[in-house]
Amino acid sequence: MLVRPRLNDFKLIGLYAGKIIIGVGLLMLVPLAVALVFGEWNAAVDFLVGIFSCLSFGFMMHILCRTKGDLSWLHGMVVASFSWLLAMILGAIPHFLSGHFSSFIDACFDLMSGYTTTGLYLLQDLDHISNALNMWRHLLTYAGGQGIVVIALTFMIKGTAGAVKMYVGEGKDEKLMPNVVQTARAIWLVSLSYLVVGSLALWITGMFLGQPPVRSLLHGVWVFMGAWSTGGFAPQSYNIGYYHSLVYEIITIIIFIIGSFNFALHWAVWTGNRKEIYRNIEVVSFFITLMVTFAIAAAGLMKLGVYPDAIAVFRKGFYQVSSGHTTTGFGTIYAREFVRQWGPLGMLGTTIAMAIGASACSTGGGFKGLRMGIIFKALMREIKKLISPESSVIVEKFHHVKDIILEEDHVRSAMLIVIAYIFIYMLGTVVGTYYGHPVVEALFDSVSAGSNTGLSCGVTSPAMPVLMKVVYIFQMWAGRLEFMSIFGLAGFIIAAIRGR
Amino acid sequence: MQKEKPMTNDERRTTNEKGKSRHRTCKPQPTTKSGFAFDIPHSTCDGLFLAPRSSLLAQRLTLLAFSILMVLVLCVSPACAQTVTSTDLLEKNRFYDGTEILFQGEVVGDVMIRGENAWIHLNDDLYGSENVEEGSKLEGYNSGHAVWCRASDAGFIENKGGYKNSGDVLLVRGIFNRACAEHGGDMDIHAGRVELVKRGHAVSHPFNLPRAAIALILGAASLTLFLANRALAQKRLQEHSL
Repeated sequence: MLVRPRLNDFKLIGLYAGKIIIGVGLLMLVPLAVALVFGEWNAAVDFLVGIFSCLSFGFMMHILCRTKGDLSWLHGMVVASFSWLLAMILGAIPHFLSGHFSSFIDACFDLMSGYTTTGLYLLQDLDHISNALNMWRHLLTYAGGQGIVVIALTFMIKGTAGAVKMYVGEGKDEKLMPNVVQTARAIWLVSLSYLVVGSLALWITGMFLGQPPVRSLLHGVWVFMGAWSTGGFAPQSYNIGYYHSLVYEIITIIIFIIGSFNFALHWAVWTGNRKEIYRNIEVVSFFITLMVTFAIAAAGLMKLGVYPDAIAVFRKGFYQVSSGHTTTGFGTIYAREFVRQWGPLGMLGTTIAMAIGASACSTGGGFKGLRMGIIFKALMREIKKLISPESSVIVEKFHHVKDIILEEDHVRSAMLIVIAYIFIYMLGTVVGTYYGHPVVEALFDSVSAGSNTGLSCGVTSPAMPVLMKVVYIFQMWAGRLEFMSIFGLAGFIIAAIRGR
Repeated sequence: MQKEKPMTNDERRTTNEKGKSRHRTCKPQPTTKSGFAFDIPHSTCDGLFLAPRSSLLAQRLTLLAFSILMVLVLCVSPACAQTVTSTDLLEKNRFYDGTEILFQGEVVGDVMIRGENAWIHLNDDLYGSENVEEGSKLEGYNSGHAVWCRASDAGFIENKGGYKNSGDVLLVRGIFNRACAEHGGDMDIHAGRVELVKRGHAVSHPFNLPRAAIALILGAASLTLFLANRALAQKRLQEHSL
């Protein structure tokens, strides 16, 4: 029997969603500061409108939804998924006011793409936008990569038992520290440390490449944010191809590969457990699948004679495939080159890489290396069972921070999530094909949206039908939150309508 | 304005006496770089075939026949560069690979000097004439191409397209590379000649007063709500303590 939620349930959800929206509003102070520094007065006004809208909403929720009590698991899931939708709508205000979007839904698309670290965009005339808007785009991916609930947990919400439920609802389940608020702060400590080092490396490189110091600094910070969060936004429409530099490409590869690793792995290495790097099932799984998908793409590129030599095949092929595999979405080729140059095999290799994706509890999306590893281990266990005597007991283990015995629950939950991902990949493909795109191209962009990657072969554009935009927004949202909190929100709505 | 420089084998181009470039509309054919139609005497591109001056009829007829033949060859030859768009180059990249093309667009971003050369990015989208910050209609994504040119050719660029500037519009004549061997497989244009078509300018952003007023109202609303929320919290705290 469905139980209709009580008023207090709505109040709890509204209160915590309000806190998270205040966090989003405070985040806009950063682009506001950039606008003031660079004298972009109209952009500053756009951000003031955004900030005050978020704060008004947040304080209104505090007043209307004042209540006591802690969050249940369902509340946590609903707060996480609902807050992301609210944050999308309110965060899209400065985007829409900039005048670079055809409609508010386009602005929402870019917001969801940013929060979910996807990197697809519908913003038009990117090469003429303000520094403030560029800062906001990249900050979105950086904050979204850590999780906007993590931000709220770090700064806004005092440690409560319910906090962990929101944290899990956002698609993260690693507990680096005993307390979830401490865990959120640990995630920020790791991310901010890399931000300083990575931005510095890109800043210096940018100056050597011929960029003026200030532009090089801004690009360094933005590209770092795009790489670390596996977001894929870049300040120019040419993306990373803009820099025409092998060194810049290598630095970004290092950043997005590190960024795609599990925060638990980061924390283990951070606290001195360096062996974890090559023992962790996700790292092993990632490198195997990366090599396999790169081999597929490289075979396609060599068969078609796309590039003049093996070095170019490696440079272009490895960059796009690793960017796809880590679900970053940085590119050093034009979107249409996938179709016009790479051909179906090259696109297939990249599509598989995107579908598999990065590590669990990271900034990335996709099936995740952990689930691929678990499914592979389960397959091995079944094969071993087949070839072993009936009375034998086969025990399979995997290493993820510690040695874990593979159990049916692990396999079932991994399979469920993988099936859910396949479903959303198919959903976008069917809609894309319905609107007249070839299947390979529709699949490519659909997987890119669902796995939060951001590579495009040209299907995603401001001219695409509204339904496709909505489907892609749904894919990005569901893929990033890993479905459970979406199911939670759906269940909550159904209970509110049909429950007793 | 245009920059003149010594011609090299790779940069031979069709010019008239004043150095003004000619735009031909004949259809280019895909050829390899080595078999490039620059081998054809460049004077033929101007239609000024310099035949020996002879009064003999036979010689004139031969000359006429040869001229006609050359015109026919030129009609299908890439020697006469054609103005192409970035979409053409992307969609028919194998067709244009290694051919000389003319490409026009607005300089955006940075001019990145690399030794004696430089990378510039030319956008040939509709925002080149008027960008969104100047009030242009939204016309889709930016589109353009990367151009590898001499640093000296990039020296006269004053305005680079961005939020505060509309960039200089340049016309480049150069070789299109589908996957440039020199630049790690980049799709680029190696410019032989760079010509200024239109000088860019600073973009003014008149202050949006109505929007500032909305921001002010929202600011007042959020301050009021913040104070009301704090007052309510203190009141409930007092009630709780009692």
